[in-house]
Amino acid sequence: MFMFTRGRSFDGGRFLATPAPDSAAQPIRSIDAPATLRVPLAQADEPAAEPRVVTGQTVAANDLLGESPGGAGRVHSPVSGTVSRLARVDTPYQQDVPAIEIAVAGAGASEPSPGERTADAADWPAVGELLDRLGRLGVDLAESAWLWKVRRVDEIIISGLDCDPAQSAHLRTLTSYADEVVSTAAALHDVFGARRTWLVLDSARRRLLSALAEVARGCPVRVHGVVSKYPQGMANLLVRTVAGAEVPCEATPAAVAVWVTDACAMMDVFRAVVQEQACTWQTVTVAGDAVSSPGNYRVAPGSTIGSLVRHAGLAKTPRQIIVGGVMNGIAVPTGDVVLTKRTRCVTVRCDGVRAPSEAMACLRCGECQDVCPVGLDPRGLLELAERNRLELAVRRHPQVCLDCGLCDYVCPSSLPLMRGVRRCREHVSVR
Amino acid sequence: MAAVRWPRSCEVRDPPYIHSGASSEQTYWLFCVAAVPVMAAGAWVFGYGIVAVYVSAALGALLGERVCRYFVSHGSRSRFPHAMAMGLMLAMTLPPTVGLGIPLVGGFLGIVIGKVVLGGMGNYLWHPALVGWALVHLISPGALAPARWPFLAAGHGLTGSLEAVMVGAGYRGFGLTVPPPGVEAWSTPRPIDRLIGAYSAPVADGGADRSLLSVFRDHLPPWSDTVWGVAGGGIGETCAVAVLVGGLVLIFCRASRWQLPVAALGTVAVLAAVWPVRVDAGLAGGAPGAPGLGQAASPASALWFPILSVREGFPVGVAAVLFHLTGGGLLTACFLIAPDPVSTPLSGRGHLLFGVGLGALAFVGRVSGLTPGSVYWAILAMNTVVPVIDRITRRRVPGA
Repeated sequence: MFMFTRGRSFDGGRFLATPAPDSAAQPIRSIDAPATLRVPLAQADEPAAEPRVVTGQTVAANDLLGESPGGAGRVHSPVSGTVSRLARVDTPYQQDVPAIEIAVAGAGASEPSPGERTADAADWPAVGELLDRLGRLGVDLAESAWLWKVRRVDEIIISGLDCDPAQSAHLRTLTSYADEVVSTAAALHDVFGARRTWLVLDSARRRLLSALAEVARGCPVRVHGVVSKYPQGMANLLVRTVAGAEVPCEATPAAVAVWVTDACAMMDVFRAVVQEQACTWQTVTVAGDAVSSPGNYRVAPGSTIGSLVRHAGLAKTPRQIIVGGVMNGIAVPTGDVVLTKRTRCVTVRCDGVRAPSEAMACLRCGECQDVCPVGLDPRGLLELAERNRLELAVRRHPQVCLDCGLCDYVCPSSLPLMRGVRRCREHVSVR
Repeated sequence: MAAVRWPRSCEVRDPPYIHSGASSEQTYWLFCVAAVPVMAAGAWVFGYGIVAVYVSAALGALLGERVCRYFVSHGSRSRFPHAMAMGLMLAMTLPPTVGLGIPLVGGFLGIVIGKVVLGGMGNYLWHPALVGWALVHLISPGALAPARWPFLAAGHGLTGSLEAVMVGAGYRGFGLTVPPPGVEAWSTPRPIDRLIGAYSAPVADGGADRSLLSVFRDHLPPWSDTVWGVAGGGIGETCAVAVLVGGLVLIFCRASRWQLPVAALGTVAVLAAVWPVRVDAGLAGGAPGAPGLGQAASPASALWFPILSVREGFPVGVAAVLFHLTGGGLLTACFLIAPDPVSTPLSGRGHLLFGVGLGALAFVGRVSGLTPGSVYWAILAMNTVVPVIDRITRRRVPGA
């Protein structure tokens, strides 16, 4: 079913200057794993999994490397090789994380090719078995605990929008794997008994919209265009724009029985269920002006940023490496930082990196209030934080902040608004 | 590719890593730029000498800023552009007969008292330029409210002298009345002051009554004169075209919001359309455009909805509305002076409310005889309630 709506959006937000990143134009390229991988046992800021291999052990691709005590958070080997030692690495999200160092067998191991099986909706298991299999193969779905508990969702929103202007991993996945994403979405729609399933993308991409609508013809997935205003890709805003529901304060979309996921996650599910591959290799956007061929690459977790950027080519000496995008990514000091399953984008910048300007007196221009996608008053919150009147912040709900960074982006006085909002938020959540 | 090396360490800081490029200094430089067309028009209408008034006011403000630096450290790169913009705003409100001392003192006091003492950059409640204006008003009331407002006659623009002035008893309009030899300037009341006569009881003024038609027929120049600025008024107030150019520059460069001028002008227009004017009996009886109105036979009666009146084939009501918009300082106040971001509300909706209040107060001030400068008092009054407007126009947090 094809639903084509233009102009639905949310209050606030901003059209950023880079609507069509160069990286989206290239097909997804697969690259070889480096000779040594150090696969981290923690993907984001969660506690690390426990290793399930020993030094000297030979592992094949998709073999289990570690799992958390509860059996969740499984880490698999992206390549075949020998475990050389248990190392410690820095990930963008945590420092000094335990990792499994694998000496890759043979030079230039690439992503294992999938089996011959193709998608067939009839083959899809029931909810319990599906979630079980996804967990076993290390697919981290958003809100998986909630999915385990309820096993039914009201609406599924699959985002083809990339949160950040630099990133294009979801967009490119939709372009390259339209059939797979749509068939997975249709299967999940049936498995979870969803009332509606949306596949959301930028309404300006009309050709892709109509191509996806063609693919989705006759299946329950609705292809839906939204105005790609930053930060539309964030889960709570997708729920507001697409499902027309408001996520309560301090809650996730699960509170309104909506499951928000994305195109890359759909491919992880597809590979796990249909091709029986563990979730290892990831599509990562490499962007930024210091890179000579920006694009999307299939990357093995445990590769360093340096080895990934070597494939994309360095055009200039990098001055800033950002994991994630330019609006709310994490800047890392060196290219030795190791990528995890969660990494979707690496931005390497040279020009345009400027020291933040000195903060000036607030002009009360109201821009921060205008752009805030959740209706906060960042200026007022910063003022409360600076005057140490944090107790007054409670009534202003700083905990709904999405960390999108727009207030800092627009502020003509270069005030540290995000920091102020964060201080209020920490105070409110501690309370 | 081999020549490019990885640095030992890259820059690490908090996101976001890009910035829109907007800056506070830029905002106030834009206010200064927006004053340029107004200054140029003023130089044409009042002689190039008035540029000295602008310079003097800006110098006074900059001097105030410099002096305050010795006492207060409110470090901000935007403070000098801000002081300069405030000086130029103050100068726009002054009559052409003002000396150079008044703008200098006004600019200085505006910054020292209005900006630094009353809160400092970013925190002041009242518009500093208008605080300076009000203080000058207290110090020397006559200087800001002269009885006659001279401007240069046709053919003497830019270079004429305001000294060679003729009090315009027979003045019909800029293009309609040829100045006698030796006369380089006319001196008339401001169009708005003439018009406001129609709102008070008709009293004899040199034998002429003040009902609407006679105001238009006998006293006011053509409306186009007020659009082009060839009429009496403050040195930055008369030329509607120049003010609009400056105001639109500010709006398109996002230094100000459209809501404030639109709401304020709309409110004034609506009030001017409905607010009763005094008409004398003879005219009121034969109102063809306003059936059922003004039939009273008393010597003077109130005519509601003057917008509907047509007198002797002339739509006096529409003309009254137009003169309300362009005949005084309203346009300058709404487009160039009031939009100072610090002393206006935060949100667009707040600006709408601010504009409505500003228009209403300015209009009521006008018809109750608070002139000149009712619109500037209205801005100061609305500045006072900005915190209240901010509170009631705060955005709703979805889901909270």
